[in-house]
Amino acid sequence: MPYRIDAWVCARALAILLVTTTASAQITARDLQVAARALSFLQKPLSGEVSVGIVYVRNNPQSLAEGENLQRLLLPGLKVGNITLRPTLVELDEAPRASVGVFFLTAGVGAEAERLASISRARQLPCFTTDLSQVAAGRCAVGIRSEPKVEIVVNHAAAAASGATFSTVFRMMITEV
Amino acid sequence: MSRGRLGASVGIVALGALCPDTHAQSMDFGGLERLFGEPVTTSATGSPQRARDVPATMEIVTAEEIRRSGAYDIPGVLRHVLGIEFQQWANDQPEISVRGYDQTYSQRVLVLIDGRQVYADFNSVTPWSALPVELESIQQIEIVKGPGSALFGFNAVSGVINIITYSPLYDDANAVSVRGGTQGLAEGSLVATLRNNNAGMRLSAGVRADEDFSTPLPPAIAGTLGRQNENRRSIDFDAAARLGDRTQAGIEVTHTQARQNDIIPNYVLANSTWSTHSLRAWLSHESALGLLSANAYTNWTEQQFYPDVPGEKFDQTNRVSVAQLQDVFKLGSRHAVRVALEYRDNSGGTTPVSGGHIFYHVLSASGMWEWQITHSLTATNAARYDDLALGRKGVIPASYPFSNSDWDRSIHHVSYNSGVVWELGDRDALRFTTGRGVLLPSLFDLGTFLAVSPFYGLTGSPTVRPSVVTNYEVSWKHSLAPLAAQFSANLFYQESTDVQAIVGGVLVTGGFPYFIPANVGNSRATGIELALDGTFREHWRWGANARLERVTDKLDPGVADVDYEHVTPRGVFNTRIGRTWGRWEADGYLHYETHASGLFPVNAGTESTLVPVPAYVAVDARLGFTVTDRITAAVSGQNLAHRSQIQTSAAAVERRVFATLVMHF
Repeated sequence: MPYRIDAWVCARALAILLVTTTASAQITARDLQVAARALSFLQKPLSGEVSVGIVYVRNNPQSLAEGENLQRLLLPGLKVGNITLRPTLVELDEAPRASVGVFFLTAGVGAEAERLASISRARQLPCFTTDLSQVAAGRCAVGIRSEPKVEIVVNHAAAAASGATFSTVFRMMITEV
Repeated sequence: MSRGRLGASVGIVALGALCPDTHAQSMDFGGLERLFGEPVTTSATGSPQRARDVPATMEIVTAEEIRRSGAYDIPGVLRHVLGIEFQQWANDQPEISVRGYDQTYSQRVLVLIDGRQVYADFNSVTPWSALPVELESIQQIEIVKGPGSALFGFNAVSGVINIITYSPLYDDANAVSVRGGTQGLAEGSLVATLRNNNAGMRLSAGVRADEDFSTPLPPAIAGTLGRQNENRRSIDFDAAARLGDRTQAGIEVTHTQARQNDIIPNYVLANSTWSTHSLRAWLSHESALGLLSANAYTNWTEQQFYPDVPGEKFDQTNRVSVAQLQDVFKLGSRHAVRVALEYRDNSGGTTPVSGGHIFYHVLSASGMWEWQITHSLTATNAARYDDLALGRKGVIPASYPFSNSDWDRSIHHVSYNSGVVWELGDRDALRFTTGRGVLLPSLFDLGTFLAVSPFYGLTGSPTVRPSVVTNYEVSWKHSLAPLAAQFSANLFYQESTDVQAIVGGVLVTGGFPYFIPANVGNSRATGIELALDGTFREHWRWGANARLERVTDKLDPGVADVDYEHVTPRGVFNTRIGRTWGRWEADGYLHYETHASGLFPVNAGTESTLVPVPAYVAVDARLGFTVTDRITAAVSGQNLAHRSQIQTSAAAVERRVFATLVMHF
């Protein structure tokens, strides 16, 4: 049985990686709306003003560019339903101390995101990203994409470790790895 | 099963008794639709799913589509939907079926509101005017085509229509509407919601008065009976609350009364008054074992009708009580499971000879397993076992061909639904489905109908068997992204065995004949549905669909009141186009049916014959104007192309025009 489970995880990861390479290049406002709405389906749903820590790596141009783009999209605050997302750029090294309610991991960080996974677990703060390879690798709990159709991928183990457990109804309609 | 696991299972059931129902309102349909950008549903498998993922052929009519349909009742909305059969037997007696097989008192589609059955078991019909729902309170209408018995149980054979209302816990639905038009139509409705983050309640109420069509009703149908003015009044109170972070509970109380002219199953006129009451409670709990839910309701339904027999009055009463326990959970990341138990108690009194009582109890167990085999391939299997115990008590008339003990029998059936959904990239999806559903004889057919004249009797029978419907289907959906359009094709084959007829046999006791229902043969249907829907430059929306079908009956010779082969038109075509500009909205709908036949009464309805129903084109339209952000005015019309038009074997359907003013608050 372990062999079969491993095969499954690998197959799913490959599928997700394929998605990543074709669809995660440029984050959009729609991606952020999907993330905000998903937060309301946590078993302990977030509401009101939520500070989003946009996590980037200083010496990674792709990460920094996406972080700045993300901040621009969120400013002065993105209200979706009963949640208002307020952006804060957070360098990865500052993540342990950042005063935020949720992390949003920029794309292209690669294995360095392992540090954010540890922080997310320690601080019990969920991590969202459009870089679905990070979800497959267990470094970020929730991956989103909104085009051509909304797809939400949750790494069940990473989500549980960071206290981000979703309602059963929500889990029925997403992809879990 | 180990003792520990057995104990855990018992614990689930015990906890479920304190707790909900996922096809009820513990689901935030609106929030999930906004998240995924498409409707979500539980009507296909009992498990929450996005519309594109369901392993069933399904149409979902959204609140926006309801509003822009221009219709003032649910059948008026549904008449434009692919696969829906619509027949207007009287102004307030529309009949709805799925993929042919439509008739007066259409039996084969199970209709529910938020998972609560509103289909009347005593004569297997949905009294559309007596449904306790206002259009402004509806989130969406879900139409599942083909059998749905593995989830919903008996009578979901041709399809299921689940009307989902706004949640008093999640949604603010507040509107007042007034409407007036031809046929003396005067209607008003109110939907008001009061809620905060932890609790909410919604009141929906409506009144309507109108007249039947003025087109002549053939004397063979009308007899000496006149058509009465029609009216409807309805009230629904729905409340829900959070009992902590993970538990929700709700109650619903409804009442409706509707007076209308009915063309009854032997195709003659009756003046009818429907009265319904219902009481429902539900509880849901999000636990480590999944979403546990308990749901219980009782429907009290009464229909009084006066046939064309001096001094004769039928008073059909029915009480159905249902208790359901369910758990929906995921096993790992690939498997979703639903397990459920249901108990149903159903009873009705005999009429017009009173004093007898037909009843049955049904114990059901069901389950669903959805397996995501790969990222793009999902298989779903659902099955249900129903164990029905039938009985009768009370008065037996002299010379009656049955004794009460003849009703002491059991009916056992297994229903199933299986489907495979294969997504081929982002643009294509293939779906292979099969299902088996069971249509119970109505209480009327099982014996609540008991009429005795000096020369013969008419009654139900304890020996009539359920009909079984099996469906096989292949579907393809294709996204035409450059055209902002979606194409779909559904190919289906359906078999119905043991078709029931209300007069199918005769029993003679002591020289006195009783005409009784019987199983009279089989029927099968083969067809294809094609649909293309899209938008254009944001302001335009358009669609076209076709249903082509051939029904073949193999019925016993001389059967009255049943003929599916000739009453089902071979082709039904719909097109629609809509445009918005500024404060204006305009929508047009065109409906074409090929020629068919209609059953027509002979000898006061003791026999029937076929009469032609020519091919026809019906045109509906709506023109709306946004007066302010809160107020909309609209003029709508149905059957606009002709002053009157033959669409059934009863009175010609008249053109209807009406104006509607809606204020949201």
